[in-house]
Amino acid sequence: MEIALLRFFESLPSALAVGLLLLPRLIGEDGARFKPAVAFLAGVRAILGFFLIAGIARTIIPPPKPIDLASLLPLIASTVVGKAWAASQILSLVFAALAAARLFRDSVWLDRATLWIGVAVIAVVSVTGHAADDSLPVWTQLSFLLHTSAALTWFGGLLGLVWWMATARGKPPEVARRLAERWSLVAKIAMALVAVSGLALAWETVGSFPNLLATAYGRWLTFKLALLCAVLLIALALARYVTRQPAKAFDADWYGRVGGAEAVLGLALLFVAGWIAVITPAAHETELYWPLPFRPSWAATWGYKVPMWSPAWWWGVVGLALALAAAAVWWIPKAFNWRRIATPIAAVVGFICVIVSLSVEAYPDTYNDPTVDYTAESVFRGQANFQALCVSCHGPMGAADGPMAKDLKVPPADLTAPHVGNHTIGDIFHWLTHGGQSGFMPAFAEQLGVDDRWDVINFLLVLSYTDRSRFLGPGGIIQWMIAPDFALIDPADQFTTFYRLRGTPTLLSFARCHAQGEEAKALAASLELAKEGAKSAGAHHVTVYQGDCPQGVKDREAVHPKEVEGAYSVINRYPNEFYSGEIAEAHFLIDRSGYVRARFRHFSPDDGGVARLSAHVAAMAKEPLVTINLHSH
Amino acid sequence: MKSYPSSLNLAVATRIAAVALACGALSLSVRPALAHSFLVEATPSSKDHVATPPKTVKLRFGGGVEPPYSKLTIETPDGKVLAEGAVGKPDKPRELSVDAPELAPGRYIVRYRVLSTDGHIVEGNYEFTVDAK
Repeated sequence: MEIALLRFFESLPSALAVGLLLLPRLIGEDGARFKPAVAFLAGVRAILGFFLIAGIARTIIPPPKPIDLASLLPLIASTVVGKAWAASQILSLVFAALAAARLFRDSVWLDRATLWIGVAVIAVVSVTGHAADDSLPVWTQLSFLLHTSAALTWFGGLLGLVWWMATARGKPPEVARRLAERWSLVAKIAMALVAVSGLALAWETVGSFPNLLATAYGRWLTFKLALLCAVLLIALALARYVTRQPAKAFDADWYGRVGGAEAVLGLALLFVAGWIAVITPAAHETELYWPLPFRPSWAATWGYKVPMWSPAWWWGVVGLALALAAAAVWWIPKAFNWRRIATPIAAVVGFICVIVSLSVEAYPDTYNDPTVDYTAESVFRGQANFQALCVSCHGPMGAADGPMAKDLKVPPADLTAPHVGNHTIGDIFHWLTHGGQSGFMPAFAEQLGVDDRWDVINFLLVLSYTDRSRFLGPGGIIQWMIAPDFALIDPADQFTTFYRLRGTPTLLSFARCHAQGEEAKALAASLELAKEGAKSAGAHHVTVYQGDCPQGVKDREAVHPKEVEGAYSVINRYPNEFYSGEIAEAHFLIDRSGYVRARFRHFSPDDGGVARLSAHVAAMAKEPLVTINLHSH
Repeated sequence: MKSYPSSLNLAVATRIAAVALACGALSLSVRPALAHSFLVEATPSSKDHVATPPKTVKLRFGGGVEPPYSKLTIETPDGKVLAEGAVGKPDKPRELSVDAPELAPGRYIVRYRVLSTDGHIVEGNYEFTVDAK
């Protein structure tokens, strides 16, 4: 909070100084009466900059180490944030010097230089924060600079405008109107830049629409947008006043008071902006909190037959009725006076009602991010917990055929059914933590820690593939089944996980070499063909071989072969065959993005398998690389 | 002098501000999210079981980190610090490592407090196990 307050108080004087520099130039006014104020404000900004670096240093260097020159100088010289602060502070000192020089010298060039340095000072407000985050694309980092310069120019100009109007006694109303008109144009341009850059920033820092409500950052941003809407409404009223009021009747006093109200909201906006600059961006949050008991979902409600008179039915009916009313008000002559207010309100409320009718039940955990990545090791652990705690109802493979299932009043969920995909992984985490929707499934928070619950969910994700994975064959499928990641043995320390092999397709081969005689020879020949086929196709090859397999057929190996075999055995299903946790032989082709695309049960010289493998790899090389997030699935 | 329509005057604007601020306060009266973790990859990884004690614990983060102001520790479950440090490489600005002592079979906790290039502190921990031979 201290850093946020420092940023707020640091931005305020520099923004107002820029505003007082800009406004006189809009109407060719002298601006001399603002010179002392500009110099004072620029000086305050420069002084507050030193407090900011001390505050930043305190968050980096915890007590009891002192914050003094000995600790500050290395921080400033050797860290990105320190160098960024130094650059911004040098700019602010130049700004203060130029503003002070204006007290003793009248010069148009000095005025212009001071103004542009001032704009640069407010542009670099964000460089000691998220703008310096090198995990963000360059265009996002540049958007921060554009956003702060446009927003603070607008805010500073607004404050300056209110100041000008309040001290405009003796000025002709035509002059005041001309200033308001020209300022209105500048404000529109600034707001347009704020909107465009804000969208660019939100794309990276928020990440998804649910994050707007499910994270602290998102909630603050939503509040900021609400403040912005209020600001724009007042600005609209002021703009209409300027265009409709005759110049001689322009009331600068009234305009200044309404502008002051807009500035109060702008002040709140500035504080919120300073606060979200120091908290975790929504896209990086791992523990989310969804505040509503429902969430809109077109996918989950598609095809859902809404019972008449149910709450969802009523929400939809009211929403449609309001939408029709919004349209009717616009066309009915007697309602013309109300249409500018009634139509937008009715349309917005109607839209909200329709959204609620297209919603499903949700929980605080609904959009939670997993604490465990989607790995074979996690799937293996999750399967063990599932076997220990869940099979009595859900059955060994989640098909709701456990021994206790038939005695339950409400049958357990079939975890292999398509409807499972309509729920978020957070929903499943909530049921594991607090018990199921039906009230019959118990809570497992005491038996399973947080990570254990996410392991079970990772296993359930793989389990949800089994319905269709039994038909996976050499012909290939679309990108749908994500291959679990796992740790690889790599003496060069380069490809330490399976995921790092992305960019090139990988043949993932499993085999148990326990056979004897002709069977062993056939298996060895198949494994040899797999190795040669992968090599000639230009694919990576990872082998999870157990038993007495020839050393020559092995390639990159897994650190935990038992866990990897266990995880992939879940999808190694065939029609009319019982499930086995061991894979006698199977070769999965993973595409360059990380999706399982084909499976070969065995390779032999005359089955055409190697040729098909090569053809698949060649086709996959032309596919665009799709980014899979193993952490937020 | 004629004022602008009374439907939008200073009193209304102030009320709008008050309602907006009240709504904002209400919407924010939920528990805050906990600290984030930018950790992308670790070796040994979280909940990993390793047959051979690692000589080095390596962490990779989503963004650049500042080694002089970061700290990694390897601890026993009861909090005893066995190793401490943060070594970075100029060509790998997102990675930090700490040398591990000879670790006996058992559970270990890796804690990290890392300064990101944007000036934010990232903290977290995870555990791994050295399996008995």
